[in-house]
Amino acid sequence: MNLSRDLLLDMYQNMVTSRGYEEQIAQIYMEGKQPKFDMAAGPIPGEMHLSNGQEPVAAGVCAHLQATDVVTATHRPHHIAIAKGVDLNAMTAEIFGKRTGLSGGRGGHMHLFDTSVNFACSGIIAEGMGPAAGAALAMKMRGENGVAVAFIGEGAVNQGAFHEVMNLAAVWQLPFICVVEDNAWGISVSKRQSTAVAKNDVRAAAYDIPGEYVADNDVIAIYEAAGRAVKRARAGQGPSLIEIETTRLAGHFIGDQEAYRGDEKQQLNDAIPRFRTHLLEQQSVSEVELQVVEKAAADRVADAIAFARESEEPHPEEALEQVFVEAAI
Amino acid sequence: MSATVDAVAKKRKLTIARAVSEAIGQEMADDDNVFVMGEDIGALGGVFGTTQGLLERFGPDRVRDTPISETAFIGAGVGAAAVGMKPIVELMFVDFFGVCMDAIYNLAAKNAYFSGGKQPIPMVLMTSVGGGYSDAGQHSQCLYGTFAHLPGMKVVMPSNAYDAKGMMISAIRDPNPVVFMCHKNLQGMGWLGTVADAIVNVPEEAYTVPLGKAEVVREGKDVTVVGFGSTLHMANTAAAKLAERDISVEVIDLRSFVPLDRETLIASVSKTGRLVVVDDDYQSYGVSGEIIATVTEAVGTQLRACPRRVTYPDIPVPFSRVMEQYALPSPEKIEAAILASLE
Amino acid sequence: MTNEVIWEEDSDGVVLAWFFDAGEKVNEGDILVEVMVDKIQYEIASPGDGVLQIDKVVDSPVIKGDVLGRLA
Repeated sequence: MNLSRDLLLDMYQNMVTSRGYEEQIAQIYMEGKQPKFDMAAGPIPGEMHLSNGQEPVAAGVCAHLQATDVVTATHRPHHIAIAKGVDLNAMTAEIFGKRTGLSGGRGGHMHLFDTSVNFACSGIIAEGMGPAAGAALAMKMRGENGVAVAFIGEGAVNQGAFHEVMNLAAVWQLPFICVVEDNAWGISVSKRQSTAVAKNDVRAAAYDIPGEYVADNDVIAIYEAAGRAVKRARAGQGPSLIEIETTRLAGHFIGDQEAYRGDEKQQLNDAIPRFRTHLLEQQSVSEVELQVVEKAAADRVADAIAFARESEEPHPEEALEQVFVEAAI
Repeated sequence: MSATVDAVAKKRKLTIARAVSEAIGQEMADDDNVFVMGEDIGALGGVFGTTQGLLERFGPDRVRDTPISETAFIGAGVGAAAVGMKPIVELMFVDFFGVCMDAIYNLAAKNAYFSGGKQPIPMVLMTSVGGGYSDAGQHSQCLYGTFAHLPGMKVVMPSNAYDAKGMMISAIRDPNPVVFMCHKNLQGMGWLGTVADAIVNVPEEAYTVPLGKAEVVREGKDVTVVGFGSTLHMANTAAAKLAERDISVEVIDLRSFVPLDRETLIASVSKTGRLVVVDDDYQSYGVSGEIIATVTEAVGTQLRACPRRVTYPDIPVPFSRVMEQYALPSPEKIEAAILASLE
Repeated sequence: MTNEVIWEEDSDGVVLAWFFDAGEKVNEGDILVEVMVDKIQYEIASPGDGVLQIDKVVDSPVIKGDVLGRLA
């Protein structure tokens, strides 16, 4: 398939924006946490699950999605949020816990909600499956040709909600796609140790729906597989399951020493430099064009961080607001 | 602490996490039926360190890393216990109970009753609770009330490493299902900040601390303050501060939600006539209400002041530090409640 | 006899917790103190028998080569 240069550069831009973002967040996260790594300290407290290495999944899938399509994601959400078009300034302010954040600081990094682009993420494994299927149900009932995508990890496929939602989506023929990011690790437990099958695309047979496995973190192959699933969904042909082999370059959360990974880390391969080389050598993109994209990405990240740093903290008693919303009369 | 500690024995301190893993290790060495399963409890030794060292000692057959399948492995824990094993199952964060509660409250907690006592479930469900370090609404909850409310399971929480080891050994030997809660502020994970008073001397030999007994950790005559886990230490801080103003605070470490040691609570408030409960779980419909109700039913007419509680508001836990700290109980809030009850 | 910490990088560490009080008798192999360096918690075992003296208390920053405590 011949992909347009604009599309390829868009995907590249998403990937480098994401990576640059995670690298900045990692640095800022460590502020105030040295020499004693106390998770509660610093401008970004709490847990932090970074997506370095997994950018191609977000870029390749979200390239097919409109703002009206629905995405749910997990505790490792930044790359998907960026590719879905979440407001980066408000997202960053939310991660810093600021008043200008997407939820005024109530959610933080694991609970990012941007209703303008229909993105939401949460922290319980496989939790996003049900809501994505529900959005798909609503679209079908209203005769829209939208699609809903639930991004989960390969560990989540062993959680009950996965099975129930896949079956329901299949029985009701919902415009729903489950994208499994296979980074081979559920915290310290490898896929091999936890999962009865080597590749989860085979589970699609249990629901009589199409399943695909995309190897090697290849953004173009990911784009193509996602394209097939999205086309089926919009045509009313029901759900699909896609598992994508990707790479978690860092630990489960910042602070994870990853002793359980042994020597495997030496062999990890990073899709971004690979794609960059591909663009230069196979797609006649010039070095100058790439640098323009990279600079724009870096500037956007810097602006978002500056916005977050300069924003004010919430007023403490705002903690009591938004438990219930006012009824419209 | 307890008078059974041998005064000549070496005094070494442990964190709660180490004490728990030591307790489990001693019981596993003693009884082949004891085994552990849960997420990341093997090679990693548990995300909060409660099973550190066990895999190396006992091997993967008895120390089992599970898939992310709580309904499956907690249900399996019930089944293994039903046929004579003694499983210790870890639910990583108490907030995850939502995906697997049926096996806990409808099976583990009820099978002894349904079977007329013939099928007890000697399972320990250990889990970590509590917030205050910006882990947001799905990783910071306490939920003592949620579990304590449902009949058929013991629900306990130690405030220090000595109690942790003794209570864990009691829990493993108990023929009933026990929900063993560890407060994250006390466990001893370096990256979480640990209240120093939780790290105390722990005897090397196996010993038990009974489940269902509260402890008066500080005697006083003006007011009874009840705390547990993290709030117990806050209560001690407030009491020490007020002692400087000649206010005599009696502090009780509840230690056990179920069975609830009503006797100790009632005896204390009969003496002091005033009650303040400190509970970092959501305010309404929970442990603080139960303690106040149970004491008031017994000695309400003798109270010198209305009972008070310092609790978490009925809101999801907010991420932002300023909002979360605003919501949490604190020594300052406890002091204010004590002073208000003395007016 | 001194009890020194050995680590590779030049990063700062911090003392997290002592598991024996000063003045207590300790034996070789007892876990004496926990130190965090670069987000990793290290448990330091006693190199021998003796009475513990503490040089760096809890929350003290420490660098490579610092003496944390001594055995008398």
